[in-house]
Formats: sequence, structure tokens, C-alpha cells
Amino acid sequence: MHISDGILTAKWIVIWYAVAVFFLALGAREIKKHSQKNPEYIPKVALMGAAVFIISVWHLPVPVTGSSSHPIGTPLAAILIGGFPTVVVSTIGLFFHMFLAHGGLTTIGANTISMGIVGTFMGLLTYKALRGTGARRWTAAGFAGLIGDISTYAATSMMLALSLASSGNVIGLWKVFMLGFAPTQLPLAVLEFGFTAGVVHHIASKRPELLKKSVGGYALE
Amino acid sequence: MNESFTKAVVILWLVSVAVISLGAYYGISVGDLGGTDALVEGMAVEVGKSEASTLVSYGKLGENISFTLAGLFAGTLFGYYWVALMEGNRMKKEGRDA
Repeated sequence: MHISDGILTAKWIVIWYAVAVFFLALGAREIKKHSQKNPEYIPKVALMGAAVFIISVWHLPVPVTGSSSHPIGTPLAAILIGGFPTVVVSTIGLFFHMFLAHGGLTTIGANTISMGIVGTFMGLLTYKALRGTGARRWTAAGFAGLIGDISTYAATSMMLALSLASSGNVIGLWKVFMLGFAPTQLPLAVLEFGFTAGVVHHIASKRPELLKKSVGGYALE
Repeated sequence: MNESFTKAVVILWLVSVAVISLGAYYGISVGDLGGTDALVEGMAVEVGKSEASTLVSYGKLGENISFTLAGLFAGTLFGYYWVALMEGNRMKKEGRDA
């Protein structure tokens, strides 16, 4: 979801920008650190930047629900390049989405939080938690995609509700926005499960060294 | 080898664009499947009594064209780095053998 200009109130625009800038600074520092250690890291970041950019504006029709929406791609990026660097590539992607009539300048902070921070870290935490319980790599990656996708839209709904709720009806409004997303987003979250699992499995079998934590990835612990 | 690789890439490229374009055409024009982003944004505008706006506005056709161009650009970038990374081992090995 890309929130357009004119919807959020000034207070929330400032808050979301401040949070996003903090995460971006950490992300930029982590990219610098990894790229100094490993020359293959920057191509990997560029690869995931292009992937997140295109996946997150890839509108897929879901005929049964009579609507369309897009996956997010950030859980996959987080597994491959790390959480904080994914925040950076998401923000760059969201900046260029503005020129495709998606999102807005005043809402880049909010959109970065939903897709680049919540989607990323919920995906990454899911991945780590499942790997910790002994789940297979592809299963953990798939669920990271699924949970990251759903939580992105839950976060967007919450941000809209926080900004627009007038008299303490935040949860009620959040439910309304979630109901707007859910029928179309749930099938796409399942799709996100599939391609996140597939890509991580493929890379693990062809170039497992790209997934090592020492080169910024998280899929091989 | 390089020629067959280029051919395969170009064919894949054209097929991908055709499939995505047909999907978009069906989804937007034939199936009239509007995006949930717009749907929820409409709800938010109603609640907030505000007016949503975007930096640019191309209209339906312009949006389809801009998305296709963006997809081609990002896809080319993705493919370039994907090959560079995934073939890294083979290239290194060939370099050592040569």
C-alpha cells in the first residue's frame, strides 16, 4: 500500500519521517560496513533494490475478490541483504514509485515504515524464529514472506487509523481498513510465501555463500 | 553460447512483457479489477474528509506505459545483477582455468 499525499495529518507525517530517518541511518551504516568487507555485497543490494522496486508496484489481479494489489518483496530482501539495508532499498524504491503516481512525498516516511520496516523486520523475525525451531530454510523463508506481507498492510491500516481517528476509535477504524485489504491481500501473501521460499531455496542450492551472515545475508546461520 | 544466451534473454523478456501486459489489460480493462490501494485510500479520504493527491498523474494509459517502462528498466537491472551474482562461481573458475 502506498499512502498518497493529503491523507495523513501533519503530526503523523513528522513522526513517521523521524522514525524512518533513524532506520535509514542505521541501514546506510550497515551497507557501508558490509560493502567494505565484501565486494559482492553492493551488487546484491542493487539486485534486491531492483526486485523490491518492481515487486512492490507489481499489481496482480485477484479475480475472485474483484480487485488487485501487490506483494512487497522486503522479507526476501531482508533475508538476502539484512534488515536495515532493506529499509534503505525500500525507501529508494518508494521514492521512484512517486513518479509512477504511487505514494507521495509527505508519506515516504509512513510508507517506509509499513513496507520497509514493519514488513522487513516482521519477515526477518519470522524467518529467524522458524529457523530457530529447526524449520527448513524454504519453509522459514516462505512464512517470512507471508507474515511480512500481511504485517505491512496491518501497519498501513494502523497508520491510517491513527491519523484519521477522531475520538479514540483507532481499533475500529483499523479493522475497517484491514477489511478493505484482506480479501485481496491474503491470496497475494500466499504468493509471496511461494516466491520468497523459491528464491531463497534456489540461491541456497546454487550460491549458498551469498546467504552467509558475513556477507549480509541471514539465510545460512 | 553468448548468442544463444542473448536470444533466450530477449525471448524471456518479450514473453514476460506480453504476459504482464495481458494480465494488466484483463485486470484493469476487462475484469475491471481496481486496486485495493485505491479502495482503502478512498475509504480514508471519506473518513478524513481530505483529498488524496500524487506527485504526478498520467491517466490510465500513461500509467500502464510508465509501469511497463519501469518494469523493463528494473527487470534489466535485476537480470544483470542476478546473472553476475549467480554465475560468479563459474566465471571465477573459468578465469582461473584460462
